[in-house]
Amino acid sequence: MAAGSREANLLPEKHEELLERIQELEARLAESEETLRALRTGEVDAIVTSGPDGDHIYTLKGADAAYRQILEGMSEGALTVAHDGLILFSNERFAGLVSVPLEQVIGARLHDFIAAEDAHVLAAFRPQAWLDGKLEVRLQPAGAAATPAYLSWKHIRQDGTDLVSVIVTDLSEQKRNEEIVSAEKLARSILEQAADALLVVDLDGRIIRASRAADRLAGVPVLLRSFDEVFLIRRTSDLQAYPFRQMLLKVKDGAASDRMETTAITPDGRALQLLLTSAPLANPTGEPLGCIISLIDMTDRKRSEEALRLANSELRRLNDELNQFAYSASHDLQEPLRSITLYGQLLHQKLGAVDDETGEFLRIMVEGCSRMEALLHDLLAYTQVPSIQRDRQWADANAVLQKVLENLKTAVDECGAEVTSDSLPSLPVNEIHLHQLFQNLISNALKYRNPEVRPHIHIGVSQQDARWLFSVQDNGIGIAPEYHKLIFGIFKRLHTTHQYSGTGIGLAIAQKILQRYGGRIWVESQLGRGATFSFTLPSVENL
Amino acid sequence: MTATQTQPSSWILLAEDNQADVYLVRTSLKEHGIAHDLRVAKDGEEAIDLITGADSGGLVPGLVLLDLNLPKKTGQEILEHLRDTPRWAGVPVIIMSSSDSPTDRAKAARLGIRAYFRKPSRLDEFMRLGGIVKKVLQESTPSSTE
Repeated sequence: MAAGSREANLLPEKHEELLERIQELEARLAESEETLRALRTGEVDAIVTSGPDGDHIYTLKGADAAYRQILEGMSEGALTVAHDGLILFSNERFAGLVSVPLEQVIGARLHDFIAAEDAHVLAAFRPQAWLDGKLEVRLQPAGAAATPAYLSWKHIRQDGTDLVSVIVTDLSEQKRNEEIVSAEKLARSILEQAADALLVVDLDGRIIRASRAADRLAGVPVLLRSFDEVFLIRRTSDLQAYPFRQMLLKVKDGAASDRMETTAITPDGRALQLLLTSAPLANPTGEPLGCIISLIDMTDRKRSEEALRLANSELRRLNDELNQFAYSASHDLQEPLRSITLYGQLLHQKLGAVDDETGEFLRIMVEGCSRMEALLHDLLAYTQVPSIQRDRQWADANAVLQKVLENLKTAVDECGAEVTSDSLPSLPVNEIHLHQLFQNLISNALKYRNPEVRPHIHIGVSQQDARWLFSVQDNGIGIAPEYHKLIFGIFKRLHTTHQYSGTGIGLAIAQKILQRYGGRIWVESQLGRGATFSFTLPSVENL
Repeated sequence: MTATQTQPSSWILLAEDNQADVYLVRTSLKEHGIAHDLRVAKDGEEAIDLITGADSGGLVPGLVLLDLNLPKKTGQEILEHLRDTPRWAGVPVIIMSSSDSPTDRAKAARLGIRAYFRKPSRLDEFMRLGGIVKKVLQESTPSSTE
């Protein structure tokens, strides 16, 4: 009951006392409102309040000094903004960010400092939205350049008023840093994922960046290890410095890129054939930092090169052997053949006058022998083409042609052929070869003449890059296109020996000679319309 | 005059392994009236032996017919041997070969030969050998008597 009586004690207050109390509260409310108004407009920096225990003076220095110091010391801008964007408070930093004097910032609207495209952010400040948030915007006071900034805002209710407190972070510096960081990330990622083994080595020879391919090549993670430790390049002597160190020294001395083919030993004992290319790496002021190294594993390539070289030399040996065999065979076959021929004649002589049939048999035998002798002779000539040196002598094609025409004078005169030629060059070809080419082609042109017309043979020449293009053109019987390839084969003929004599080796020899000079030979012809044989020979040495 | 210069006492060495050619050489010499004793060696060693053996009896051959392609010692080697031995250095030599290789000709020519006879396939051409032999013998006789 005691409690009930205490409550009952509060009730019987005098009406006057209550009124007095109300008045007091109203006065305090008015005072507070005035204080807020004064604070908002920046009119005051000290506020005096009256209370039952006397007046209280709140100076901003006094009450909020600590907070103000924090706010002014911040590297961010700090604002208190009304929901309509009116700036009630700003620190110096924000004024600096927007390059406007502080007194002009307070009382201004935040819209004035934000780029028009980003102004939508201010919708979030309205009390009905009541959204806290963070957003990147561009600060752009009238007539000034945009500055990237980060807004972070929070709604607060202060003495019944909705306010927004805003922190503004300048991104321009940070942005630059981010760009550097992302460029660095990109470079690192490119380097790490490169298909080739790439390394960045500092001046002490330590690997400070490496592609994964480099790890695979070394068989161990190479990062932060010494280059020599993972790719040991053998010294050619104990006195020699490690080749890689020498290269580093050169880079230190400002040498440009370097390149070497070398054998390196990996930590797991593999010997790698490497093509090592280094380029100096310097900072923007040109001070050397180390070098960028690319390693190309040539081990497999070297191995296949070696295999190719061996196969090639084996092929050459076999070819020489075959050539030697063909030479010996044709040479040694000549001996018994000559005996058969001679003894056939001897027999014929001994038998004296024989009947027609026996005489014909002996004639066929001797003729067959002569033909075989001619074949063997030409086969010998064919096998001897490679044994004639492609020496450095120069042949005067005009002089060679004159010699050939002297050789063929009888044949030329017999058929009354007209032989003309362009002015011919001197060229780096063995004279014997050029002689054979002209001799074979011109004698073919004479042999396969059209009996109806006077034979005309023209030897032409023109230059094509580093080669001479020769042509031997006739008005003879021509060659049907289907035989244009066949005629260059050894002993290939399109006619019987009764029609046209010869063994069919001339064009094969011509082709073999041209192959030795990397040249080629071909024919353009239609049956009955003459033929033009063209061939190419080098016009400069070492082609 | 020509008949007296072919001395029956002197002899000709023929180094030739091909019997078919030996017969033809013999026939050709006979056709040209060369009555010298023709001694035949079937290979290079036998050729040297024949010269050496005969030489011990004081008879240097009046002429040597050398096939280049011989077993054991080649015609070229026999020629070198002859030229390196003072007593035989002046013996006239005719090379017979089925090869007309310029190098073979040049090598033989450097060592001093009287003729290079390329063995032909035509009988009448082969028979000319006797004439060449006769001519060489005639040219050599005065110097050998000096």
